[in-house]
Amino acid sequence: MKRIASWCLFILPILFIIYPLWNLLTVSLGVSTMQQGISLTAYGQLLQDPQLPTVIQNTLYIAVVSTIASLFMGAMAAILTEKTDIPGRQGWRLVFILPVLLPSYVISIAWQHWAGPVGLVNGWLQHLLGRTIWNFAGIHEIVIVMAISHMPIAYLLVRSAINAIPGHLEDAARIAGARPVIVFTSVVLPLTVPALANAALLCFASALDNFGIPAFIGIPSGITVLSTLIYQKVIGLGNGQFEQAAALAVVTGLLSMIPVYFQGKIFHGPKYSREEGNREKRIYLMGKWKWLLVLLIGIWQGVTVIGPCIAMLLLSLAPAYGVPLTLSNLTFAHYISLWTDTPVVAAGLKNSLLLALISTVVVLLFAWPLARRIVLAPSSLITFLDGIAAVPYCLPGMVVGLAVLLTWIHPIPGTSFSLYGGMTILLLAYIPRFYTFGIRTWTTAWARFSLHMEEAGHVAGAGPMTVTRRITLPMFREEALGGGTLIFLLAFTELTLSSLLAGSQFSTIGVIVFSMETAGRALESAALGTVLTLLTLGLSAGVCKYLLDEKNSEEKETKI
Amino acid sequence: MIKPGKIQSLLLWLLFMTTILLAGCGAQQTAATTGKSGEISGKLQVYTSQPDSDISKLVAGFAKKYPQVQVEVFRSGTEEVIARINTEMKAGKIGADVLFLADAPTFEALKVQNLLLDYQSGELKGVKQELLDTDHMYSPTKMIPIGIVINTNKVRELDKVDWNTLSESENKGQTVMPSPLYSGAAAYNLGIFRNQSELGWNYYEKLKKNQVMVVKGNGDVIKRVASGEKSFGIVVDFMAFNAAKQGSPVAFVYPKTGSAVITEPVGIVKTTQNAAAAKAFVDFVLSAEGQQLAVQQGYLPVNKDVNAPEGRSAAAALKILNAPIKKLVEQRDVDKKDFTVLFGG
Amino acid sequence: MNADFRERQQALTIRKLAVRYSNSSQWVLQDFDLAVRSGEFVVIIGPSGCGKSTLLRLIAGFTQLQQGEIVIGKRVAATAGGVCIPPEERDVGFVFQSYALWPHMTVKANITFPLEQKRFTALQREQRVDEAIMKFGLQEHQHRYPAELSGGQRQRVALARALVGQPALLLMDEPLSSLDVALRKRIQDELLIMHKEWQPAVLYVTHDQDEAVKLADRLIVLNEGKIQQAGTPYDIFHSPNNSFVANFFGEVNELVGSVVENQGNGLSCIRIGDHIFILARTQSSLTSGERVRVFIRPSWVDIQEREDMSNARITDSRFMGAYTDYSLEWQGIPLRVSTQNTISKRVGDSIFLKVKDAWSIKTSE
Repeated sequence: MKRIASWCLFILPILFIIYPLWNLLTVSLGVSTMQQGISLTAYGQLLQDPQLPTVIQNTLYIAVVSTIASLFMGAMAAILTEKTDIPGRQGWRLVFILPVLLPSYVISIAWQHWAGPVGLVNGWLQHLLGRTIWNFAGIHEIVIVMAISHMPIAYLLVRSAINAIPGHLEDAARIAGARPVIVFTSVVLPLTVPALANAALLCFASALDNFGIPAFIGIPSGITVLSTLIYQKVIGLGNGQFEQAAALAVVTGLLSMIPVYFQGKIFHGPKYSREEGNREKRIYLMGKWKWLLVLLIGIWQGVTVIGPCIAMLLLSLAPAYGVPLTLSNLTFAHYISLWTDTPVVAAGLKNSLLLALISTVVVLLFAWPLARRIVLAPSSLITFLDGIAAVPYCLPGMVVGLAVLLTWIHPIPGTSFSLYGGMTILLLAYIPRFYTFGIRTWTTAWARFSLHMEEAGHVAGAGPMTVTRRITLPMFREEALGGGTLIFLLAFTELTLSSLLAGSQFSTIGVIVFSMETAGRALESAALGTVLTLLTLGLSAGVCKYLLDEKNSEEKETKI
Repeated sequence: MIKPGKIQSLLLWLLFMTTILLAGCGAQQTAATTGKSGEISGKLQVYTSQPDSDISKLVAGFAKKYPQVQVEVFRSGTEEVIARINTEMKAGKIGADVLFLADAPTFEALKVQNLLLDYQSGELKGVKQELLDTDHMYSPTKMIPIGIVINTNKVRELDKVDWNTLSESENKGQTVMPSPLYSGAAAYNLGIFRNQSELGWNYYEKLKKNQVMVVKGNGDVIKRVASGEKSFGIVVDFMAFNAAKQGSPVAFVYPKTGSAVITEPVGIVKTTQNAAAAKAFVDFVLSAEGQQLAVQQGYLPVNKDVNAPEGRSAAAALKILNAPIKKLVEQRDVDKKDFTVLFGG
Repeated sequence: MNADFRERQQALTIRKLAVRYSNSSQWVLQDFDLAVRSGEFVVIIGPSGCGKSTLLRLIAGFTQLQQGEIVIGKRVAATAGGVCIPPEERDVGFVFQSYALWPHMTVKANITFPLEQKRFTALQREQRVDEAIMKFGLQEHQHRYPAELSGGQRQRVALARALVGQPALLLMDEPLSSLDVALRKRIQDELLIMHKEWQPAVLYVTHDQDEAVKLADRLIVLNEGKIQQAGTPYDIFHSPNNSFVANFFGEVNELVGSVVENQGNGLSCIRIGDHIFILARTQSSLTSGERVRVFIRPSWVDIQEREDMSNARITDSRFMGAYTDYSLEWQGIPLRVSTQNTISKRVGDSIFLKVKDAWSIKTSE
């Protein structure tokens, strides 16, 4: 039995992670078709595609500009909430991480109604000034929405780097004669550089990965990026494009390896090694300025997060598109029509909840044995498996989705039964995709607790099951809850994988919002977006604490 | 040191069982049956491009008549539905029993692939002969002219609006249209225009030059014109009328040059497991009751004997642009490719 | 010397200082006076939580005081509710327990930083830094980052950084506590050499008595926010003010007795229990009949194997390497003794003991 378990640990990742990706590569090389040997036809066709240069240019432009913007905003936000004495910091923190919890397509919907060409803001400006001031249509709108939705990545990373700076380093600089401003620029800022670099790589990778924003904003305005191009090759254009889509996915996959490659290379060495130490932190007194800063943050969060959500809510209550909302014509008709006219909505919610639940449980259960080995008995094989497990999340979702589609779509030989169209194929994509989150959940949990605690349990005479149930799991409760909720949220609102894999009989809520939006049912999709926002907020109450790593920030603060 | 073997084995076993169970769920497929009493029952999967609310009302009407039949609907743009079917063919099995999509050429293409079931409904008496498929593979259900929707706050003089209005330089950046890569109506419109000497492919080039916006579906066109983002939109008529009825500031114009008219045909998939229910569905759509329902939703009926919606001229009164259907079918892939090159994605 | 002149020689003067944390009513330091002369090495010692680190942070300007005043050199650095010069203008050096070396700067950059904050020409700066690097033996390491250094090297960099600006006052907060014993001893020696060379006034905080005794010109014992005793290490070891100080510096036998006669030469005859009479050093004010507390350190007792006389019995013994610890019963009183002599007697045997030295103070009640 134990040997079977060990073998599964090895074979399952190969079957469900490596094999689909290998399959993607072979399809792109034409191996699956009847021709003999490999051929580069698909790549050749791809190169001749007059669209491709524009698409790659769009993708890189969006990724680079939105990364810079996310970094800037995230770093500013982290400094303001972690290094100043402005009032209400805990509240600001929660709003700053909000965009990472909301699915990016909901942010896209909300933003379009807020500051899009005919959004609420332009409406006000039109009313006040008689003309609109900006027109963030197309690629700029994608950049802005992407910057907002990836800002929390930078925020969380910079924030934890800032909080990890031992207060003594700043004390030492002051006593050496530096004014607070100099302390900040010569000690605090340089120490956040590695975190900034990591955040840049992550934001860039997320921008390559993102499908929701270019799908919701880019497709209507004719801005195509790599992820939407793959989607269109598979879904939009009909027959015979699988090879090309596969070739495109391979190219995209290689592109996404650039940040992964750099991750291990830059900012390493003695200059960047940090000692775990005293985490007592210093905050800077802003004096009278703090009220100005509070105002600034308020406006900032109002414009980027709260305003869009309100705009979406208001639109969902309007009687018809283009009709201004007043108190007297306010209606819940679109919420009602979600249930009455569109049975797929209820089905989609149910499907997504079920998918999220199963994925979370399976990922956490199945990550346990590998995570244990990573902590207890690391070997080169285990490290390799750990790396393999991270691949489906490092690659853009569209690439993973296509690989899974191409691998499991074909009927099982000898039968007419195919996994396509049901729940199974979605799980076969979701579980590998989120597997690495499960491993991180357990390994961080183990890192926080000493293994001696388990050993003490064994010495006291408890068997492995008892120790796990009575000692390990209760200790890990918080991590399991936080990590589990995160996986659940990601799976629940997932769009990228399901846009390729969801069948006509089994759709996910993300796909349903997408098809509503493309069908022009803006009011209903705003209503559904609002419902999803509320659901997400409810679910994420636990995750906020997990993401903000409360235990560490509760430590002593000393004012400078 | 803990011996984790036991727990792991248990977990893996659980995983294995879950996988098996889930695979079982996916495999579940209700066999089509005709009930003991000869009553029609079972599951019926309809793939359609009709708006959600319209199809769900139609299904509700059908369900009243055939309460034993469980209808499930998959909705998307016509071209995406076709892509879905292509994907399902790769997976070895088409999920649909009934297809209910925008235009005749789409069905012609399916006919060529031998995917459709021959069925001549008894409800076709009131339908003009030239609209019918000679092989009885599909039946037209409505007359849906494609014309121009305008924002009434921005455009006042309705009668002057014609196709050429959209390519005039004073209306630069003011037009939105659906993509032929997604919408069957748009694909049909493109095919028809290409075969008109006064419009032709040239018209689309002029639109591009005039910075037309291309969105996915007709609904999105309405949305953008209603909101005032754009002044003009190329769109199917009923959506514009419905939006106006709901209070959106829009109006619809049938261009004097003429309109392409799609017929939203319905057809049965050859591999259907429930032909009886599928035929009943087709009959219901074409029946006076089904046509009346369509009229209530703002469609022009295909049955001459059913009146047009209140305050709307009958289909016969319109100038209709036509082209040989064979030509349209042959041309469609070229159309899409040219469109992709001109407008990108 | 008049008071005024002495004042000018002070590197640090603290008067009537009191401080507490903002969210607590408990005083961390109360009614605290301290003066450190130029060039003096003062060690503050006390158990953890006694307020010694808070004191350093107050002097450096990281914490605000509630009462009293702090004068650094001739300048008033902080008064209650009034002046508060920020840390960067106080012109003191500070060596942190964690060294607080900036990990992103090289050794040289770390040492240069304090000079960059002051008005020096590039040349002067360069000279001073080179000099410091040389004096601390860091030439080979000057282009390395702190993460590449050993603990002792980091300690030297921290010291060099604190001293390079030639502050009049150097504050050190348990700087050696993270080093192992052998290295700590070596750095202590280096520290003393450095002190001789640079001559700063040093206020050094530690909880290690050996270190304190070794380094201090003057020692201050702190407990519960109050100075228990200040003096040379010798005085504090031999004449503790109270039982806390006595116990804090090594082991001590603490007995109760009464004065039989104050001889006036600093010695008194004291009776312990019913039968024991010893000669002990005392405060001069003691009078006959007064109750006293008598401190006898284990090393102040001599034990001899005499066949003819015995006044104690061995209850336990433990070999400690350089010496041996004995627990004795001395006419009904338990007493701990340590001796370097070799003794053949075992547990239960009788032995003769002689108190060589003792110190007595008035009991507080």
